[in-house]
Amino acid sequence: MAKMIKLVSGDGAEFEVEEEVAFQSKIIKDIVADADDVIPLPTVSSKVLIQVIEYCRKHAAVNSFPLSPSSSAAAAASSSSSISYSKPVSDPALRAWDNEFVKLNNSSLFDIVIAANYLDIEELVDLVLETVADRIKGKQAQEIRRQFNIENDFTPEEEEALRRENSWAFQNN
Amino acid sequence: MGVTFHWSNLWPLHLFPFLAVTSLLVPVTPFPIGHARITSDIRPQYPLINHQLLSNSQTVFSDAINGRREVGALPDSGEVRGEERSDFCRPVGGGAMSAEDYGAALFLGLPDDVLALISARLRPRDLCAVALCCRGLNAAVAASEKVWLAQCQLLGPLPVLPLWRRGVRSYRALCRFLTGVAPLLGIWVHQNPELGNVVCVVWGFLSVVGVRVIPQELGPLGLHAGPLLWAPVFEILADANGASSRFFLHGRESGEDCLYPGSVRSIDSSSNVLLLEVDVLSKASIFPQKPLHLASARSISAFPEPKDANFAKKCSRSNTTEISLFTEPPPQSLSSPTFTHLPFSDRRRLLELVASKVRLKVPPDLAAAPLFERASSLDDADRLADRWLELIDMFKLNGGWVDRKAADLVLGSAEYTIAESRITMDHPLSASTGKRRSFSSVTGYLKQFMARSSSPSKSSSGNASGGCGKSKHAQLHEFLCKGDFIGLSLRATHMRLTSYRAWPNMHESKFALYKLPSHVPVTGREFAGVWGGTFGWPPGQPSEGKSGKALFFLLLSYEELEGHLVLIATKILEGTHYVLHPNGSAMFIAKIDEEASEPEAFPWETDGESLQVEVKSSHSGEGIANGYGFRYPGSKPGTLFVLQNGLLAFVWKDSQSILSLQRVELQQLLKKGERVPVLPPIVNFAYLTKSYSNVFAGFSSYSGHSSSSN
Repeated sequence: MAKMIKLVSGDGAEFEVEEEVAFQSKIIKDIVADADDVIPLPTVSSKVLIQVIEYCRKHAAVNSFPLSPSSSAAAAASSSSSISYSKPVSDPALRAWDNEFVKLNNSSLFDIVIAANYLDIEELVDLVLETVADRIKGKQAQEIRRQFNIENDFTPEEEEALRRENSWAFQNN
Repeated sequence: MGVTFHWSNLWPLHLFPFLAVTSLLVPVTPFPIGHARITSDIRPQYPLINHQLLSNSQTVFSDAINGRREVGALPDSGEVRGEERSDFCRPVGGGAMSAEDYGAALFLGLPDDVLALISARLRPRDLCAVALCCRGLNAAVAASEKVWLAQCQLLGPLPVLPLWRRGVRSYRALCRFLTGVAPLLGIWVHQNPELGNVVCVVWGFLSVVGVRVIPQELGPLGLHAGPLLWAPVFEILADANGASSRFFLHGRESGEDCLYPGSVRSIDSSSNVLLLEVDVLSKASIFPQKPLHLASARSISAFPEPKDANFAKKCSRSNTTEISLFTEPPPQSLSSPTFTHLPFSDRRRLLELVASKVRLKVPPDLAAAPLFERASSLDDADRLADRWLELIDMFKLNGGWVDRKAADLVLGSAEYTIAESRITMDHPLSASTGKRRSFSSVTGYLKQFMARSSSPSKSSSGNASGGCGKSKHAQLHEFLCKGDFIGLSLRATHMRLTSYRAWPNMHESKFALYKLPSHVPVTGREFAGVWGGTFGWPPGQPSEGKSGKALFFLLLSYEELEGHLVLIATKILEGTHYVLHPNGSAMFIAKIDEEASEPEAFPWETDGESLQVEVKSSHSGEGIANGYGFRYPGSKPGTLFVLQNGLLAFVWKDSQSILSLQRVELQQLLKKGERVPVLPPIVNFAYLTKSYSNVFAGFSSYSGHSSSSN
């Protein structure tokens, strides 16, 4: 019988999840160790919490099995380099699931990453940020504005001046 | 010698409130050297930062921006995830939010460390593109130290970044410097002298340093401890805005070490040629009416009041009086000659003249200071920082600009008064007063030059019109008339170069260094890279007796040749007294993709440590031999042996000579190396006189090592 943790969203909705699912969040893991099993999350809305729980449930199921040799080797390799992200998801089925999971609009993605950062779910943060970065990489400012629906409030002179100021960044490959 | 940098009184805290909070993100205590090891978690482990505080501070950006929505509380529309599968966001519900600022608010609602995580996945150009989107994003990106720190971590030497940060306005400025000079890192070579001309460009202190590995014999401590003898060639220091603008050429005149300040004209991202030139600039470019400034590069200062007020004042004085040079090259009219168009003798004389005028003697305390971190000592960072500050001050006093009329007169090109009047010039001083003023100061110099000058009589081509190619000196004169001041400048550019077997074909009359293409080991090409070795067995140990073993450096690379994958060993440095084969020759070529069909036995059974020699594989090939004269070496058959411990050895079949090699990391060897005196400045950069001996061994004893300590 799995131990259940109760998460309460910002708008008051309660969600009961298995302990191992909730423990994908390091913050929740720490809190449960000290306090009780009802955890209020005032800054996380229900909608976002549902999505985060869905992610955690999927990844808890995978993480509960011992690491396969290939994934543990990948984890070792990534942690030996001086800068690395959390261990890469090596299971191709899980990776495919992740790719589907992040097919969201920008505002949802940002909501999720803020919640995941708050809850300290490293893998989810990395996954979302990777997606966001992909939507920025290699694009001109105008394309980025279109992608994220940002209004250009520069005057043409200001923009030109900024471009010149930042020309050093655009020179190098 | 506790040196603390405090720039706190230079760049006041920005007015916007969120910067007051982000100032918490910078450590309040001076960063101990070597402490900033980045762990596998990219989020910096600042001890004073409460992670929860950061996550909850996600609203600090928002307060500064109007009309923001509250993070985490979406309009309660009851949507489920399945409906949100569009890439473009449109606001649902509205509230006080208008559609326009919704997009930027997404980013601005993120905590700074999350922004930094995104930044680590982007290139600087992507970050700048984001900053260009709107004012809010520009302010957020420009002001965020963490975002730019993440960029710097991808570029520069990690442990020293916080220390270097103190010399520039912001991490953004540091990032600008690191990206600017990155194309220079690596190994640069020149054909001449034939013994080898290898200049390694490595990180200094908030600078890059080009040092020459001189032809030498194997040191007493063997290959990996040497010490390797090196001599400085040039340095490029960052300015407060991160521009790579301060160039120093090293040289030695009249027995004294000197520095020659100049500018950096430009650095191409795919540079393969490094040119030393003379630049001509107008007065307006060097002393602009309004100081150039970066509007958005406001720095964050979180350091407490400095304990050492004097030192802080010195830093502030050195920074506020900064003259920021015009970074873009002035527009060139099509007809006027550039430096490269001038004939060789004019270029040489111009370079030598400018160098003699900008020369700065190195003060004794500076002479002993290191240029880059050495392996031997732990407190180099302080000495490097002090040296950096002192160099900046020297640069302020003399930025290396010389009145070009002085040059005009000395080089004899100003005698074409007819030509001069035809060219439209625009300078504030009248020609006559300018001449009178500069004449008195260079009279003695002029006499010296007239006596030495071997150029044809100047009066003979007095009728040359400006701009016409008839007279050599008319072209020089026209070049000089483009502006008011001249100075040394470094330009890294990309040229179409052909190469023969990993060795670029070089011009013989350009004052230039050429990039040696870097070959990195990959699967299937494990031996690529720079190796060092000696002739003889056992390997890597100096022989008994007076004469040492010549040290060879080779670049190993792979090439497809006649259907085989071959390993080519290109000689880049030879430590003999008199060169045997041309610079850039292939010492051996071996068929690395197949084992030797008739394997030769390795001639020795044991190595220097009396361990059994284990041959992993052997490959047939050809080794260099005397051919038709010096220029055209021949080859004789031999075998390449791959031994244990990563050793390679090539044995010539007939003579049984053996060249044994070990992989070296030149940057690491330099850190344990020993500095030796340099040559006069211009030849220290590029030694263009054909030579077959060791021109860089300026000190008396060659077979031993210089007794001067570093």
